[in-house]
Amino acid sequence: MRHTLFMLLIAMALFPTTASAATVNALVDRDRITPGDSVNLQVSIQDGQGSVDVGAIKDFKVISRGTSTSVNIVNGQTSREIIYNYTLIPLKEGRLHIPPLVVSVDDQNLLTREIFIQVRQDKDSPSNSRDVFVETQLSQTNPFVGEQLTYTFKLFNAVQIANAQFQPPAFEGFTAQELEKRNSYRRVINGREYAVAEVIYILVPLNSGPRVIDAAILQCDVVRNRQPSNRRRSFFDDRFFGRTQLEPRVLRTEQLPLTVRSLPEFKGPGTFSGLVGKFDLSAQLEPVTLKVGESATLTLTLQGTGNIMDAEAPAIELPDDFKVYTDNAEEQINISRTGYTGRKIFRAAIVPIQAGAQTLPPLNVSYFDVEQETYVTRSTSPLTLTVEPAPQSDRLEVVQGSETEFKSLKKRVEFTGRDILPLKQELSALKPQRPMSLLLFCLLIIGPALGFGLVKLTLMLTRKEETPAARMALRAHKALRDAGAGNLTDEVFLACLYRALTSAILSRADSISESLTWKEAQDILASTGIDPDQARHTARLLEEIESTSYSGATLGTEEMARLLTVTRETVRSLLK
Amino acid sequence: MKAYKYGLYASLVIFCLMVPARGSETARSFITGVTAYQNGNYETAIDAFSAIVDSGVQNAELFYNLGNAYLKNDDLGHAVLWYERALKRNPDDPDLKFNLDYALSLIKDQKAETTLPLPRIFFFWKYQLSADTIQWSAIVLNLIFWLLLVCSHIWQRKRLRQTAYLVLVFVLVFTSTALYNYYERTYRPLAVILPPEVSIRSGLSDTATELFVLHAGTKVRVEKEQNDHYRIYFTDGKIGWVKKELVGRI
Repeated sequence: MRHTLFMLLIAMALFPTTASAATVNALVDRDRITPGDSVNLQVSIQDGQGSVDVGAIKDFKVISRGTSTSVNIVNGQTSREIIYNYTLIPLKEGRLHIPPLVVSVDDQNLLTREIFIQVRQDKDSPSNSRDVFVETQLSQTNPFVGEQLTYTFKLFNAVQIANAQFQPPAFEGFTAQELEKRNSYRRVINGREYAVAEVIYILVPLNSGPRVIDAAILQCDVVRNRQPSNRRRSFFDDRFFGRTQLEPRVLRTEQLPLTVRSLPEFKGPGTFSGLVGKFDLSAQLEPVTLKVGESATLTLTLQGTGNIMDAEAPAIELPDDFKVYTDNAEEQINISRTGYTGRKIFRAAIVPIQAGAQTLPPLNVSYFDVEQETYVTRSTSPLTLTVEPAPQSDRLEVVQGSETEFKSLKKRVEFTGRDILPLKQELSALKPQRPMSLLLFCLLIIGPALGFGLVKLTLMLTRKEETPAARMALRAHKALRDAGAGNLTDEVFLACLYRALTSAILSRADSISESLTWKEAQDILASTGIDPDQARHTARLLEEIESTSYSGATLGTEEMARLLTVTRETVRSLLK
Repeated sequence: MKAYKYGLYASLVIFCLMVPARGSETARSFITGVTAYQNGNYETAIDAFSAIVDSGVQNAELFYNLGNAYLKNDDLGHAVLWYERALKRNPDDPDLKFNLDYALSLIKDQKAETTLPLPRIFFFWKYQLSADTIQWSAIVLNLIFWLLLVCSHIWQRKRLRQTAYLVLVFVLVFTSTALYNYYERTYRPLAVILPPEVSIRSGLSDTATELFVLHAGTKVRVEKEQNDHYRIYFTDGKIGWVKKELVGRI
C-alpha cells in the first residue's frame, strides 16, 4: 500500500497538471504619440489557442508582426501563453480608439479591454523629428489618359537608420512600373547634410477623372546611442557591441491628388493608333529593283517616347499589283526617368505580280502629342519600285510547280482578327451532367471485389469432396496435357509421362503417392483385380520410361510421339 | 380513404403537368438567352443562362455559353470562371479551348505554374486526362482485374493470374489518382478572381496590409476558409487572404 502511494506521488510530480480556463489580454507600449509614430499592440492568450480579429480597429492601419509562444512550468503547473504582435499606425489625430477585440479561443469568443490612444502634434518635441523624413513628387498633376508621368519617393536621413521597409501606394487607376535602379546621393538642407534615397515609378493613367495617389509608408528603425556620451567614443560604441538602441519610426507621405484629362475627339484623317507621347515614323524598301515574283522587304520604324509597347503595325494598303506578307514586330523599349522610350520595327515582304515602275503610297500613324495637346499624323515618303518581267525559265518553273519557288512564299498562318467562337445552340446544353459522387465511385470500385468474394464462396460451398482416386486422375490428365504441350526437353517429357502413368495407377488403387517402381505398380494393379496382361503391359511401360530417363538417351521425335501415344492409351484404359 | 385516393390522383396529375412545364420553361430561357446574345444584349443572355444554372442544370455547353456572354459583356473574371467550370466537365471541346485561350490572353497577371515540372512529368496522366476519364478508367480496369481473377480461379490458369496482377498495377494508379482528384476538388479547390482588381491582404480585415494585387480571371488555389474569407495561394511565396465574394470557386 505504501509502495502504491509513493508511486502515485511520483506520478503527480512528473506529470504536470494544466490550467483550465483561458484568459485574454491586450496591451500597448504607450498611449500618447505623435502622428508619425506607431504603437505596438500585444494580444496575449493564456492557456488556450485561438485567433484574434483585428478588423474592428478602424482608427489605425494594422500591421501584423507575427506571434510568439511561451510555456512556463512552475511547481508542476504548466501555463502557456500565445502573444499576437501588431504595429498600429494612426490614420488621424485626436483620441483614437482600439475597441474590444474578439479573440476566438476553443469555440468561445472572449473580449479584450478597450484602449484609447492620444495622437497629437507635440509642440515641445525635440527638433530631431527632421532627422529622417520622406516626401513624394509627381511630374504632372494634370496628365492625359495614356500619358506617362513620374512618381518619385524620396527618403532623407541625417542619422543612421536600419531595417527600412518601403510600402508603395496602390496606384489605383494607373499602370505602375518601378525603375530597377534606385538613386542615392547627398544633399544639404538648411546647413544639414542628408543622405537621399529615391524610388521612381513610371505611371500611366488608365481612365480620366480626379484621382488620388495614396500615401507611401516607410517603416524603419533610427539608430541612437543609449547614453548621451560626454566621454570619448570608444571602439565598443559600435552597434555590434550593443551600445546603441533602435527607435522604430513610421513615416508617411502626403496623398497626391491629380486630375486625369481625357483625350479630345479624333477627327482624322485615318484612324487613331492609341499612342500618346511623341513619335516618329520612317520607311525603307530593299531592294528597289526586282523581278516579278521576287520579294522586297519593307521596313517601318516607329520610335519615340510614350506607350510605344502598345503600337500596332500601321495598315499597309498597297495596290492589287502587290502581295504583302507581314512579319512579327521587333521591339527595343527602355524605361528611364523620362518614361518608356524606344522603337518598334515592323517588317513585311512585298511581292509584285505585275512588271513596271510602281510607287508605294505613304504610310501614316496618328498619335496624340502631349506637348502640343493635339493629334499629330506622321507619314512616310512615297517609295518607288522598279519591277522587271520574270525570265521565261522562271515562269516555266512556276507553272511546273517548283517546290523552292512555293517554299519561299509560304508563311505561317496568323490571326487577322480576334474574337471568340459562337454559342452552342443545341438543346443538349440543357442535359444535366452531374459529376460522379465519391460514394458511387467507391461502390463501383468495391462492387467487383464483393462479386469475386461471392463467386469464391459459391465455389467453396459447391465443391465436391475429392477422393484420392479423383485427385490422382486429375493429376494424370494434367501431366499428359503438359507432356503433349511440345518444346520440352527429354528429361521433362519423360517426367511428365512418369507422373501421368503413376497417377493413373494410384488412382486405380484410390491412394495418393508421388512415386512408384514398376514392381510396386504391377502389385497394385494386380490387387485391384485388373487383367494380368494389362497389368504387365503397364508395368513394362513404366519400366521403359524409368530406364530411358535414367540412361540419359536422346529421344527422337518419332520415339517421343510413340511413347506419348502408348502412355495416353494406357492411362485412359486405367482410368476407364 | 376515398378522399386520400383523390388527393393522390390529383398530386400525380399536377406532377405530370409540372415536369414538362418546367422543361419547356428551361428551354424557353435557353432560347431567350441565345436570342439576346445574338442581338448583342449580353446582360439579358447572362440572366437567362444563369436562371437555367440556378434551376440545377449542370452542363458544359451551358457553362460555355455563360462564359461567352460574360466575355462579351466585358466581365473577364466570370467568363474565365464559367469556361473553367465547363472545361472540368468536357475537357475535349475544341470551341471551349479556343475561347478559353482567348480569355486567358486578356488576363493581366502573368500565368504562374502552380505545379512543378517534375510532378507534371512523373504523373503525366493526371494532367493529360480529365477527372472523368481517370475515374472511368479506374472503374473499368478494376472490373477487368476481378474478372481475370475469377477466371484464373475457375480455370486454374497461371497466365490469367499474371495478367490480372499487371492490370492491378494500373487499377491502383488510376484509383489513387481519382481519389487524389476528389481530395483536391474538395479541400484544395481552384478559384478565379472576379473583379478587375483585387488586393490580397495579410489578414481578414480591410485594413490589413495589402500583400499583392491580382486581376480578373487569374486562377488561384483556395487553401483555407475562415469566416467570409479564403486564404489563397497564387505561386511560390504569394499567399494571402481575400473576401469570398471576390473569387469564384471552379
